[in-house]
Amino acid sequence: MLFWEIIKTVLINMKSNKIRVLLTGLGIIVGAITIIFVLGIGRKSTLDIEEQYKNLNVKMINVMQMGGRMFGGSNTKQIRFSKEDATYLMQDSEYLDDVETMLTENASITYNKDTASYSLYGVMNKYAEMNNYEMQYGEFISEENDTNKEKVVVLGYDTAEYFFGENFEDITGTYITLGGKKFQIIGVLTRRGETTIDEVVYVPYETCKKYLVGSRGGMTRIIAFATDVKFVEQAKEEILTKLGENYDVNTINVRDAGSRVTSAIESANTMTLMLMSIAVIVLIVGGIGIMNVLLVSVRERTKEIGILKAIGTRKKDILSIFMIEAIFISVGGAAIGVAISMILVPILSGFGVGVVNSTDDFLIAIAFSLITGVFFGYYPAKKASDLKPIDALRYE
Amino acid sequence: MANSVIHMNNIVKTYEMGEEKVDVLKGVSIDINEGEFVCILGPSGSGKSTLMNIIGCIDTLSHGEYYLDNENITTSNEDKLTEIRNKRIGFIFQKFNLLSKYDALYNVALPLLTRGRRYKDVVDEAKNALREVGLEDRMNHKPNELSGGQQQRVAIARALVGNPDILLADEPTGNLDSKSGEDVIHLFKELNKRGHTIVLITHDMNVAKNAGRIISIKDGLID
Repeated sequence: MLFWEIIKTVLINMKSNKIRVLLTGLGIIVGAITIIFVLGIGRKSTLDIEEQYKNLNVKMINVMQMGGRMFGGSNTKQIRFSKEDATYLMQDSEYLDDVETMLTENASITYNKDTASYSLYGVMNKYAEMNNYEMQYGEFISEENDTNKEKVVVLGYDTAEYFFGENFEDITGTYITLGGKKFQIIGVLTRRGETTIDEVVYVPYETCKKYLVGSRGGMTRIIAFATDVKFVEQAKEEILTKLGENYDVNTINVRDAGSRVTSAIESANTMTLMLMSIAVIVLIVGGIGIMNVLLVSVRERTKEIGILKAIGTRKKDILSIFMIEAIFISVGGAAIGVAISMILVPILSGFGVGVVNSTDDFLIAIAFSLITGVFFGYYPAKKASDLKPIDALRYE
Repeated sequence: MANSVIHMNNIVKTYEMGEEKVDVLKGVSIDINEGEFVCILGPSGSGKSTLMNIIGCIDTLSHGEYYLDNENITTSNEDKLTEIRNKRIGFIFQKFNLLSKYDALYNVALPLLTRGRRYKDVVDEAKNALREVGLEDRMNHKPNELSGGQQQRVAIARALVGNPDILLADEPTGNLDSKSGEDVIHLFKELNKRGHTIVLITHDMNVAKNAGRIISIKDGLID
């Protein structure tokens, strides 16, 4: 039979079995929607990660103590990195551009009888530049602020908003109470959308060390910069070797920004892969549904197949009739799934569900559905075409 | 034997039912010539339907030889038999065996579509076949909208449309009332007059007497 005549035959048949066709397609519709959503969620989380880390300096290396009090207090002896350590790391280093130390501590801040606890970073003047921070108002901490141990503070955007409401243009010069001492606000950072930047207060390193660290002395950290991205690994090794002369290296954690981004993306990919396998399972279930219905259909239509064979319809034409029906159901189901997704995605996005789809996802969903249809449609179709005419005709 | 359409020599058909082997045909030889109207008469269980199915290439034989138009098709494969069914034999069943989803015209056109032709190219031939059986005004009706006699006429038109060497009818009046049955038999006689070779099987002597020649079959053997 001509291809077009086979298609016409299939269409007439599907038209007279609308409910059955729809029920069969349902599994594929759900499968296609699942694939589209999984891919969309995966893409959204990757985009989120890229967005989150877009300002991150890939040459940056973070050195801190593992298992310190941040992790619930262990028996490990607390390491306190000093400015001398930083100077030592920079000494004769081939791979390092700059090394700074910083302190982190929690501090209660009071303004106008309003008190809240925030993370406190004791940093040196280059910290803002190193991290690509931009100033919303005022200035960042200067070298003099640090050397003179001045009581000045730079607020993260959210911190400023918390104490001063939405309009805080003129807050530079205002005094707030930090750990019981009055500090003058000299600047506010531009919002970055990261709590570790926006919900923080920054004070000069030396000031912090002198006035603000508690009895346990806060956490110390070293921030180093490699001369080039390609030297990050060597730089990390060099840092560990040098620090190992004075400290127990097993307790020191050296991380670089690049590998942080990589691992975040990797874990997002793992999640996508996991969700993807769920989607594939849904499609397989849908495919088994197709196979089931087609097998029943072959049985129902045995007599019809017998008649077709008796009038001389060829094996391959009967195979085509059943295969094309399976393909129509699967691709049609996928198309409906795509249409439903196109409606659902914007609605769900409105509810804050992170789904970002590209055309590829729709094509992938259709392709997977097609494969499912072909794979699970083949067995029933083969069974139909292999029937002997006499057996099929006698079937009641 | 120049004008022999069917030449069957010592046909045996054995069915295996579990351990038991049943010979339905025990050595049947028949010859049917071009333009004949032959009736194969026998009671139920005589093997006449099996013989018909073998002639129509719907069933296979166990032993013997079968020549169709002087061509030995005894050992032909399924593809060859499919082609024979499509082009050289027009089969008419007791229960009509029309496809219920399609209208009369499409049912009649199907054997031609099977040959790889386009519907619009074959529709006139299908209409002609329906005209030959007197149903041109019913061609857009589906089988369930037609009477039994009309359905059988559609089936005859379907058998005719491919211009086969031979028309085979298996109890064509078995499911019809006597009036419709007579009409159908009359139609077969007409078709025979127009030159079609017809083999009809029946258990009914009243039907058989219309044929030019009667072959009686009983217990798998020619009587």
